[in-house]
Amino acid sequence: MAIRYVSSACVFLAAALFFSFPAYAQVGLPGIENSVLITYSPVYPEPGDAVRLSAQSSILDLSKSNVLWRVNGKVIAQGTGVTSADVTLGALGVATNVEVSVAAQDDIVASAQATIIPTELDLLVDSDSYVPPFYRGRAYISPGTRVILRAIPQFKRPGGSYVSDTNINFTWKKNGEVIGSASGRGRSSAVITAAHLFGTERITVEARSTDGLFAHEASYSLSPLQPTLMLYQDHPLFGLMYHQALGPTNFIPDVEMTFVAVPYFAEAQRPEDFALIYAWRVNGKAIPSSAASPNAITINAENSSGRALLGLELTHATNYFLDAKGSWSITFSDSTTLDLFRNLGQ
Amino acid sequence: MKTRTIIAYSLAAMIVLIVGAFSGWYFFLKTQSQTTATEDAARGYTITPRGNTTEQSSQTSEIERAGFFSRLLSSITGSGTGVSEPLATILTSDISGFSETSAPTSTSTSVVATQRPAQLLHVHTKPVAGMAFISIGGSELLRYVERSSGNIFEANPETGLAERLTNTLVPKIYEVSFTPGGRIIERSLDAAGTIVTTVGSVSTSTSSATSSMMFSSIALPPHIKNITFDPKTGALLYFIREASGVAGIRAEWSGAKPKKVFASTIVHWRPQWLSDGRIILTQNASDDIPGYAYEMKADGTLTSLVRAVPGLTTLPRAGGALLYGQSSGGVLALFVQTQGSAPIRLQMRTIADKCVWSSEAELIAYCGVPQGVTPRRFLDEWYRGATHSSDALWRINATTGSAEIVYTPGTSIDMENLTVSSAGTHIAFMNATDKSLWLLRLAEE
Repeated sequence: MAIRYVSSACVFLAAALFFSFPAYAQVGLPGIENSVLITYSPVYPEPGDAVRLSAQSSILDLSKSNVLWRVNGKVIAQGTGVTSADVTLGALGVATNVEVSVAAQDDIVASAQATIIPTELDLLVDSDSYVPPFYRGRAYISPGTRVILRAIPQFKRPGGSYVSDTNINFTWKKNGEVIGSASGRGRSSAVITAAHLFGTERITVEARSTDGLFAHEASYSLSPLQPTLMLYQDHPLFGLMYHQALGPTNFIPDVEMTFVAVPYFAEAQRPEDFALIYAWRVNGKAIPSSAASPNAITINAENSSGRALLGLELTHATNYFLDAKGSWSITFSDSTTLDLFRNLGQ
Repeated sequence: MKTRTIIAYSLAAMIVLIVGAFSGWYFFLKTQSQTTATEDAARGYTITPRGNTTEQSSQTSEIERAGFFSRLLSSITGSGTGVSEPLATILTSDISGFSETSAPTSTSTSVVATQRPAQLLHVHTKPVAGMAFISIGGSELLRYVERSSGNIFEANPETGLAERLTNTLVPKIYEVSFTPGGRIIERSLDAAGTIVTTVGSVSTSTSSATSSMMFSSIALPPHIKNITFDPKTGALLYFIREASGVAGIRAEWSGAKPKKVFASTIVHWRPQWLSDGRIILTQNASDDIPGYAYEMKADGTLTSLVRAVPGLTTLPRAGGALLYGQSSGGVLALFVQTQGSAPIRLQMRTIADKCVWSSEAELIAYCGVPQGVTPRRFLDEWYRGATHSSDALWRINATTGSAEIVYTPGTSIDMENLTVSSAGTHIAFMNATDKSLWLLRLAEE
């Protein structure tokens, strides 16, 4: 598998507004009413997340103070030294208003307020590696292929509108280093070249709205894999039988058949790509590949034992990390005994 | 006298030898016939002599001709099956042994079957490219396209009879979709490996002496990676490669008035257009890889539907219900979600690609569920044709989150492309192992 998912996807949390407002100070140092700060975890909460709220102060001793927590106007926790509280966030774009009030022993009162709006950030990964037509699976990443990354933020304002990508700054990082050429305002996509085999690269994207009110981060670990060689019959009427990959041993109810190798996830746009080098062997003997269809081979078992051990090695002219192999044992049948009972559909 | 005795003994010996040889040949043929019958029964049909219909004709039937042309073509190309195709079948018992009879002389409407087809019918043993139930004159017929010839066939679920509608040879049809208005989208590859997509319809030809059907089509742009259509109007949405990724193009059913409505650097999407107008895009799935599904708005923006589910496969339904599958750590799981509710994990292990929503008012779905253990990387291998499952059919009530087994075939069938008749009485599916077509009657008295 080429990709290992690291952080649970891209959720956009947007931690939204985080303000500390002064309440009122009866006595004490100027500005002491602002000395309380609210922090929360996770840093980028998503819809429905349980968030741990914490109050901090560098001046007041909160452990000996009476702390009162309100969420959307309702008291959720209070008491001496209650410096944290839990709250469950609402849906995307729904604001949760948090207020903490602190009454210290010397009658100093301070408070802070915060508004948390959950967001989401999806990080989608794709590749330009080769997959055949009509293939319904994902294109894996193999050495030398391009990795296509797309961040899809869902920064929904309480009013219902979304922050568009053009108003979001995207910062792309590979193994912690910023990819300057890919980052910037509205740069929701990035393209990088896959690492070599056995290497792993951690890709991180941070999305932050230009007004600073919404932010989220997501990451993936990419681990390229070797391409997979599959062999199929190329039937004159049915076409390439993608639904019946040849296994290690096979029985072909015919004396002649064309086989096509499909280089899943190779660095190529087409299986006939000039850079791909197909080395065929039949019963140990090297068979030159066709210039027009190097990934295809036709075997005629007439006047032979009817058994063929087919081997194939796929390499690349410039990508030395591409080296895929496959072998298939094929038994052909005499057509005269087959006509009675064979069924090509099976 | 001695010579005559020798001749007499010799003749007697020859007669004995000849009788013995014929007897041996007889028993050999009988054994082979039994073997063939057993194999056919395993595949779901047994050929029996004609005469199971109330009407017969000396004329060559359309169905017989279909078989003839197919065999002729096969003999020319050397690729035929050598086995008579049960293009028209009347099942008299169960899957393990049903009978076949010839089709009627001209149209199946003039034929009255003497017996009801068996519950499970192997409609077409050769690969098909796609199928759909269509309503004609108050009855529902199963229309399908043969992969090797492009010929369009129609099977009557009530009689078990099938007939060929067209005989225009268009080989190597890989995918077919049936759209409103009787139109058919066909997908194939040209000699260069380029995906070719056409849309057309079946019409009655008046140019020949005998009335026949023909398929006429219009070519859509080449290189269409994926295509879906509005279930109400037949309007198209297709994805086509461009320099920066893919573009989503909306067009009329004929491909006219194309308009770019979507662009993405992510190339591999599977679009699904629902009857409530919503368009769902799901990333192509692979085992263990997080997948995402979105609703594509009219302006091309995406809103989340399912996020970061490993090996995500989806089957959305108009109105908001959703079936989605997960493939993680070698374990398949299926979830159902109705609008506004939390997902419910169902008891069976399968993928959404093996499911279909029923058109009933209730939220009912049917799924092919692999029996036994599936490979660790089932999705990837299944998509590549490297593994196949043997499925049982399950029925899911999405409202209650309950599921029950409906039918277990007596033979191995890897179900895909399921479709349910609008009356909910029949379900058709392809066997992914050989792309053959099966039909199951759901309502068993």
